[in-house]
Amino acid sequence: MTASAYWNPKTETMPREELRVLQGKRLRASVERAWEKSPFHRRLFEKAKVTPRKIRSIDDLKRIPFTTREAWMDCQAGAPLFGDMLAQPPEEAVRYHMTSGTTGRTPLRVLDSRVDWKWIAECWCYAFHGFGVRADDVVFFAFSYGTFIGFWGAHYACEKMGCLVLPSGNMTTPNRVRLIEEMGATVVCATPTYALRLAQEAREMGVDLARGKVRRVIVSGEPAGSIPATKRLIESQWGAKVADTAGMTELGTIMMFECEKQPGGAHLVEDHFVEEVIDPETGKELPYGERGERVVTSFGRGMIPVFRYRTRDLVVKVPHSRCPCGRTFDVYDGGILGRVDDMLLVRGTNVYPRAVEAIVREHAPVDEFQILLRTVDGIRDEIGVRFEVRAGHEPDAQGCCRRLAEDLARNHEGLSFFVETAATGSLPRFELKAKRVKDERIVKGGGAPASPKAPAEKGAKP
Amino acid sequence: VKDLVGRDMTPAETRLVRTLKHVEALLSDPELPPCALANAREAYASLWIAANDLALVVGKPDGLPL
Repeated sequence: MTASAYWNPKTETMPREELRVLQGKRLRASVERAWEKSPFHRRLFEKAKVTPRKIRSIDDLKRIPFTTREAWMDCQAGAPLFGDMLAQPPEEAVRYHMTSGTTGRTPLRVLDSRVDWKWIAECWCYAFHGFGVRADDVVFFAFSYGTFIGFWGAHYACEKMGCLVLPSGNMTTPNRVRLIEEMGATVVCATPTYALRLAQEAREMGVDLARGKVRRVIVSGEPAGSIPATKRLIESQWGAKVADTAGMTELGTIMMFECEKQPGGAHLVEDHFVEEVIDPETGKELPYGERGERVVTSFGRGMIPVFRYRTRDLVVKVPHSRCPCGRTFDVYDGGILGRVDDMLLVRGTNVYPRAVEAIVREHAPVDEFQILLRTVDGIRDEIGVRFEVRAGHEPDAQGCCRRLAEDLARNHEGLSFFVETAATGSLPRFELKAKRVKDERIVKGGGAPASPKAPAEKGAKP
Repeated sequence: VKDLVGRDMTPAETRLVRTLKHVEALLSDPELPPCALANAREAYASLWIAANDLALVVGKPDGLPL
């Protein structure tokens, strides 16, 4: 057996022309299957006058129309719980997950077959192996598990690779630090913000992580994972190298990872995905080097096909030659750069102002309100709602604070919200588009650790 | 025998595809007790992932009792 820097040397170093042939064959097969088995996708193709016969190479991908989160949500809302987009009977599923964030109050729901679930772990293997994780590593997951897909795939990837896996579930932060020390973890997986939170806790406990055994920190779930200053901070506090990954629940796994050469960006997993970058306004594909919205097509998940899904993530794609590692997979320069829309990312959980408003407006005592984001103690992000009490509801104001906080947390995977009242007339009013989000965080879109209290602690969010 | 990009399969790849077919046949054996069937399903799914990674199979293993 030869040692390889690549998990899959054959495809990771495949000449681009061959890679495109492979993508074309997988696209054709995926369209044929979705045409036959998924009514949602059949309608999509028919509307665009696309038939499987028209898909002859990867160049024909552009014949397929974009899909959106809204279309996915409408499909599932029209025929709960999964709509008519499944390409396999639900009885063949072995896994259920759902999105952490919500546009509206209904999360996206996903099912995975036995093969899907193994493929999800497989894609994570590209990342872990590519960043130097091996069978003799002890890998700690700061992840709450549950229906949040987060690091689930990474957990199984590490088991597959033969690592010793340390799942920390709902442990408190001090107990997590103790476990890392006690078991001699060599790799830690967390959101960037929670990696900092763990380091802070360790300092308070008198544990010097920089002199400990951890040599790699693998982060996901927030743009901060690719912000150089944040990475440097984590690296200095842990005495370890930090690598970013990114994925999404809609895919079930990651589609980009940093290799050990770390060229300032992340490789795309291009044997299993096609990543396009488009102008979010015109939908036109952008050339290398231009910032745009990433659009993903997946060849992996059998239960739910994904074609040209508009992710709303902002990226800049550059050629694989940016990196000296030898992979022929292209690179997202600087990772995920942000969001096209206004989604807020708080400790690894997506928060949509529109969804918050939908919840807030169900509480009668709320008059005007504001969504507040702030950084506490220099590193920990908090989100909350401040509201003016509607006249006549004053006696119920404190009860409303409690109920609203519970309601918001329940709809955001347990993310804690503080809720407080404001003096009447103190909050801004708007004549046109309301701007109710007041973001005072040091790093917008993430960048600060989770609360030390267990329920809000999050793992990464593909 | 060629892979999906037109390369000749290596001997190891050929053995992998052959093993995948053997396990596929095993899945339809009515005499398998639950313990054997469940583990054969796991084995098949893992082998299929390997073959898929190496561009030896295309599509999905539909129609199998996975």
